[in-house]
Amino acid sequence: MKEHTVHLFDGELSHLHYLVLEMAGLVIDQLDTVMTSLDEGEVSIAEKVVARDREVNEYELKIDAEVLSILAKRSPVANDLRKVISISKIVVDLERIGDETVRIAKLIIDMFDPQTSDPNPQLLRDIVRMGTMARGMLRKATDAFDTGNLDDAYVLIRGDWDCGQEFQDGIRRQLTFVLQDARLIGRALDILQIMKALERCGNHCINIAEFMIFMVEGKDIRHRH
Amino acid sequence: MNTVTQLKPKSVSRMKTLISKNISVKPLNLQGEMGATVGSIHADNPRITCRNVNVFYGENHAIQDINLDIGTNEVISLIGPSGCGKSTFLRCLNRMNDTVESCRVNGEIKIDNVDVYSKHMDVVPLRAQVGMVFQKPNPFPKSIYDNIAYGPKIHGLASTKAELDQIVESSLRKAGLWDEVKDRLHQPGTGLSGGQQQRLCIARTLSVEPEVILMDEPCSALDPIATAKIEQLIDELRQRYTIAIVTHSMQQAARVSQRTAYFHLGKLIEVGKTSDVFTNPLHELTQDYITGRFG
Repeated sequence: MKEHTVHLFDGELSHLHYLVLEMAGLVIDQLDTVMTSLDEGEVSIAEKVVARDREVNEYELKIDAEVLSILAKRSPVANDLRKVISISKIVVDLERIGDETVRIAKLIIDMFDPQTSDPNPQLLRDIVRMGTMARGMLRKATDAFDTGNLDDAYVLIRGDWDCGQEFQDGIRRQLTFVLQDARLIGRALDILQIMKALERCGNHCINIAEFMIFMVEGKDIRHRH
Repeated sequence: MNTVTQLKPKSVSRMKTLISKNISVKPLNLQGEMGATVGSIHADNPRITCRNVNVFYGENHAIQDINLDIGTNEVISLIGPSGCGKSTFLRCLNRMNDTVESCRVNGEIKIDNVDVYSKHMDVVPLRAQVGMVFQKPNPFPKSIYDNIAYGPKIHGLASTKAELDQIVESSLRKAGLWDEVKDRLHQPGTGLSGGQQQRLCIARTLSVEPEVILMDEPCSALDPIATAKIEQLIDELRQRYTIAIVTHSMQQAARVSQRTAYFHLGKLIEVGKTSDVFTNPLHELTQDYITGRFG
């Protein structure tokens, strides 16, 4: 793409771009870390995720401030305007994914409380499956943002990864466990909450893909697929 | 002309979508030459229709094959880099270019279905019907009252002093200036502030009952407050008049107009709804210009 006559504007836009990438990288790491804590049953790792959420929130504030500054100083239009507006929306989704990882981390801290017995690994399989999916979706969304390659965005929009369906299947399986052994109901509810959080992460990734398509092509496809 | 190249693939796909929806868009010539205008040249309820308008200054082909409708009660912004022909085009609409000896205009410009360049056209009433406001406020060296009264007098629009008073008051009211000058109507117009002088010039234009108002960078010499007043006025005047405005301020074009036309090297590159042009322009040249990636 051609440079702006005012090179400072290019610098500001690319600074904004890299801030979003840094934030996305942090959120990816949060999601990876929380899944590791589940895999290893390690509460201390989950606690780190909770503590690091402040950094995610700080990125949101920093990026919002940059967006405001660019809007005020540069009055962007056309593709520049779409980029700035899309980023301001994408950041909200990234922050929400961060919140979901914290929700998951707190549930993991409860589940692996040393005072209680660890959950049956069979019960956790659905979480692992959905976690892998959500992580893949977040990486795709971040790649799409970084490269502007809409193929990745359309993969998410098409629903090749269907977190919603996976969640429904997971509910059925958890119910089966509960029907077999009613004492598992407490654990199953925790697991369902984690699955719901992962499903929401997937939905936020789809939102990011939608904003990518708006940013690059100028098409607003929200609520249309 | 080799800088005017082709659409990006994404723009081509958008064009195809528009064409499939039967929206009037002429495809660009993708061979490297600039093709037809992108976007719909048509307006709802057109007051001005321009077809194949070409203007020459001697050997210089200043504007080339412009086709554009301007709708009744519409504000259209003409934007583009310096020397792109937007002011030249504007001045064709009331034959102001006639005053330039080397200027030659061909093609067809009709206002309310009357050919502006007909041999029988009298340019004096034409310029009353199609008023013009210039970049620099240019009040006559007369009183505020006489600045407004001059036009109606020479066009015979008032037969009594009372009628003239009425025209002066209503013109100043329409231009949003009455409350500021009603107590000093007989003081020189040149004593007003720049913004007031520009509104005085607009009032002077309105006094001869125009149908179309042409504005050539009307705010470029004004401060932000005076600019805001003129922009508010443009929005109010739109209810009664058709307005074409040349501006170098992208934000002003986005604020005041319903449609925007982008000119480049004498050609009309793109025309469309202002909201579309400033959020999702179809032509790469338009995008480069409005986002400041030009030159």
